[in-house]
Amino acid sequence: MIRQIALIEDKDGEPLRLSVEQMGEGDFQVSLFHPPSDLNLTTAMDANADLFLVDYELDTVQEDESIANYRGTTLAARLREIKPEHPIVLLTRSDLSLWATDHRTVEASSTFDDILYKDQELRSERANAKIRLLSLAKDYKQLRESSDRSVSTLLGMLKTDEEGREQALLSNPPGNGWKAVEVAKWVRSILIRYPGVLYCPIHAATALGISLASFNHPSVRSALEPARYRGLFYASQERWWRHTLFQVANHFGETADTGLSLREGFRIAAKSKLDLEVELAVDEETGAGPADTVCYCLNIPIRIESSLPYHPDARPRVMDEARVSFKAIRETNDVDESHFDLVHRELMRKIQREGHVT
Amino acid sequence: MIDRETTNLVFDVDAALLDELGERLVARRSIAIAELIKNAYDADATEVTVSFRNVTTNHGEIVVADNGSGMTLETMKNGWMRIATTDAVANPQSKKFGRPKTGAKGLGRFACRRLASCLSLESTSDGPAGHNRINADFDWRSFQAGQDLSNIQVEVTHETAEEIASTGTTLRFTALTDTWKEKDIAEIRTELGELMDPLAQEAYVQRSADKEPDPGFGMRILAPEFPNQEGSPVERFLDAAWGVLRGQVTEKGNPEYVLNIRDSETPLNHAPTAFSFPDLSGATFTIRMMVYSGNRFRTTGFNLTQARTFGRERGGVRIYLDGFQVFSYGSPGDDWLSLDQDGARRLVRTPDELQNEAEGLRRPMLALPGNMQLFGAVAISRERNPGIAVSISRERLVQNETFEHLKRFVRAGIDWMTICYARDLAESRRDRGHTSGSTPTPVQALRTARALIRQELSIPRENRTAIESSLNEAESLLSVEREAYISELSMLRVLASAGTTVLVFDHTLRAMAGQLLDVVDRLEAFSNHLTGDHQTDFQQTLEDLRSWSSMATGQGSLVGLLVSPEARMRSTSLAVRPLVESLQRGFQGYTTLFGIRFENAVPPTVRTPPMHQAELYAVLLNVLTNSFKSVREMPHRVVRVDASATPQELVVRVHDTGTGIAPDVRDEVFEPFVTTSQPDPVLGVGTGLGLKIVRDFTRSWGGDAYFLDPESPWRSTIELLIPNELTS
Repeated sequence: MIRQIALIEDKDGEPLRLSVEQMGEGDFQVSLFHPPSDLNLTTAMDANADLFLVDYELDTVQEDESIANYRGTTLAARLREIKPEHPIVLLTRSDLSLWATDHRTVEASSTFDDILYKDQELRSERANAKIRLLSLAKDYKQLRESSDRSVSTLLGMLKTDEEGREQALLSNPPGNGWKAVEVAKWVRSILIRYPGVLYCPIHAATALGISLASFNHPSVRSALEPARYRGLFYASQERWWRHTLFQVANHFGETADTGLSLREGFRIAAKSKLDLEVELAVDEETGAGPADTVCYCLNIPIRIESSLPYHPDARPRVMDEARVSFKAIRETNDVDESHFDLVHRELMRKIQREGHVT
Repeated sequence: MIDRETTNLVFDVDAALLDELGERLVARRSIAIAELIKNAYDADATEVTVSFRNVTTNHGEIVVADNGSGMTLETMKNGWMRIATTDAVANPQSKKFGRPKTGAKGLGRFACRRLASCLSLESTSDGPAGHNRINADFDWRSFQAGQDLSNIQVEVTHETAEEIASTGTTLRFTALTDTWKEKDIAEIRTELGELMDPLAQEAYVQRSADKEPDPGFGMRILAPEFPNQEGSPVERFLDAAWGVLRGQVTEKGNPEYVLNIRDSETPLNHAPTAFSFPDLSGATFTIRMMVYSGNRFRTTGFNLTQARTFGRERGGVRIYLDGFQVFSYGSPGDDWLSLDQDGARRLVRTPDELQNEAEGLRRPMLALPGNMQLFGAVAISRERNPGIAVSISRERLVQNETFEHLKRFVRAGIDWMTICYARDLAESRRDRGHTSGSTPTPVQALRTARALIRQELSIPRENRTAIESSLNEAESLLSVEREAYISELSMLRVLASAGTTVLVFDHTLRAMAGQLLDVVDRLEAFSNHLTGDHQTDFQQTLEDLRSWSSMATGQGSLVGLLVSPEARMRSTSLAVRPLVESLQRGFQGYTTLFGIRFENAVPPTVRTPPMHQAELYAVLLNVLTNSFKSVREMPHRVVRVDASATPQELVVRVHDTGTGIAPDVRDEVFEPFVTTSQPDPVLGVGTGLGLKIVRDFTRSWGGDAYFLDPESPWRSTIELLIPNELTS
């Protein structure tokens, strides 16, 4: 099915339009619209688009010598008011955060659903960008066309069992009468973003006590397939239901009767049932295994004792606590000391000074 | 009917009392050892050695050995074994040298419990029947609560000998209550080092005529496990004092003060009449005032940051009673003279009695020194100043009227010194202003010379005319040069303005680089229509364009490192290696273009003290730019950054295989507008400000930047020294 995309770009937008169509490989039909100087978007509204793609820089003088004296963010905000059931994606350059805006602010904004970097994703990383745009267009359409706006219907769209729905309910979904944009924001920015209800590959691998490489082995993936998240916006990023992952792993390893831990059982079963030597998830700090969790900054497996609790965001309590490894504290500049509580801030400084905590 | 019976009861002493006296009253290990040293002093020892052996382990021992008069069995029975003995009251002076006894109530020996569970005592003394040696072992663990103290037996062996080498007492502590770390020894060295007061000799009591002359009392601390704890730079540090204030209370109780200012030969005197302190007769003090600025510490081995740190840790005015320190007073955190408190409140009122002294000065009390600026010792004597009393814990003086007088006596002297300092400061500022105002400009000097020549009639007229003509020409040339000259300040203003232009330029450059890639993509599609060599050439051209775009973007990222809000606004400890990696990425286009190998050899765990990222980037950017320019035309082109860190400082070194810097200009290149680099097609013409900026930044942090003798294969090595406690 071909998705209709409305591209709003200032002067000379044809190359960009072509680039987006090329990226879509036949799945996108892109219509070009120029930004109106008075924010009157009637023409674009009539396009019957599945997705709006708005360029951040819109201030070039047009052929009719008019000029849009606003940024793409302003136009998108207006669009969102008029079309709250449609996805909006910002198109910009990766370096613009230095000059005009801050990525994190934009990502946290309800104005956009996503950002595409012209200098990267329209050039060398097209496949992933295409999947993201398709997912937005398709799932927004599903939400838009849903006549029942109850929470239970919404949870049904996550395609999970009772326990999964209960877990999802603990992560603060929108209430009855939800709008598509609210659901998209919740699923993409909470449910998928924070590990806890769903797990990304590295969290899933670590939870099973195995390395990411072993997790990615086709046999392992196949065994864990029942736990894959197949609900709303699933195509944009791979996720696994945590509870189902554990159920599958327990069943697979037959740990219920043997007294083995889930991790031990899974590894032994992988060897006997899949004829596969899976690697242990090891803590990069100490080399000890299995690791317990994943470093927030370095995204590597770590053990609890070689990490500190970290509070970089206001994630729901049902989500896993963020932790940051000693290695990240020592060797990077990505750790923000304001995200530690007072006690652990002192420990963090000690680690930075002395390399370890005694 | 009521039964009545009369019984006499006596106080029993429970063994737990030793706990109370020893462990609870003496909270700090240093005080416990100090009490034992006082015992050695009281026993007329001339030297005491405190040895810490294997104290980092559970099997360590501490040995306190003196060469004093030792103990006889009798002394031990009635002194050592008797709690709260009145011996110090009955015999206030030591037998041999007539020293005023410093120990009181015999608490020190029980303070030993603070140190260890077992004590082995060996003492040799000279007695009327020959030489006596006694040995006793105490296992404090047998002194359990609930037992009557007098029922606990301690076995003492006693022997006499005709010849012995020397008298003295050795206390050997084993089964130590704690293991010791280097910082514990450092602390005890510090406290015991301050126990004896070299400045307070004049407050010692007059010795009796029938006593032997006292050769003095020395103390050695041996801690072979911690060789770093040897030596002390205190004396050199104290030599850098701005002034030394000495005060004394005369026999009649009148205070007198003398101030010796370092750069002045004439001492200043002050004898206030507004108050007197008869109860402090004979009390003295010596206080050194430090000023943490300028080059004052250059010859001391301390930099300014280290000096301040030392001041914070060791500064303060301490009190010595009969030559021994009363702990707490003048220790870090103690403000018994209310100096820090008044300084923090910015009290500006000049005391009434100093109004005349302060005439002509504007708010001189703002210069009141804090405790960290003062290193002093106040000496008092219980014999001369009986109003002084020590609390039972031995850590404080009783807060009575005499103590209040003592505070007033010392503080009045410091207030007067503050006025003197404020005046000295004002005068030196005036001198500097006067000097700079009186320095003639080159043109003025020429005009003066011309006027003198005109008046000098002894010079033949034609010669005078020729000289005048030359002077006129020189003045003319100077005027032209001055007009062409752009001052350093002006240049910095121009560069600051250029910075804004660079930001705009960089923004545009990045946009153009992005558009260039769009064009490349479209041309790429076109290349399929070409054949053979044409297609190869065309692809090569497209690759060049991509490379150019990448280099332009990389240059832009360097600007981003300096101007991003994160880099400018947050002061935080930074891992150095990732910063160097960022620069490596930024310069990647340049290094690739010129075939330069950039090596990041910084260990991953090396971090800076809290600082602004943009500042460190600015320093590294300038140093690296110089290195790149320097290696660009050399056959072997390598630049390496490495770093190391100690608890005191971070050292970053940048080596290169460039043209090198001659030893005789290594300092000169840090001067503004001095450049040795050649114009560079990408990095531009050197302004001669890069190394000046590098040194200004590092010095503002309390560190420095300088070139070292490079080791092969390097031709140049610059070292950046960054102290772990920045001054800015």
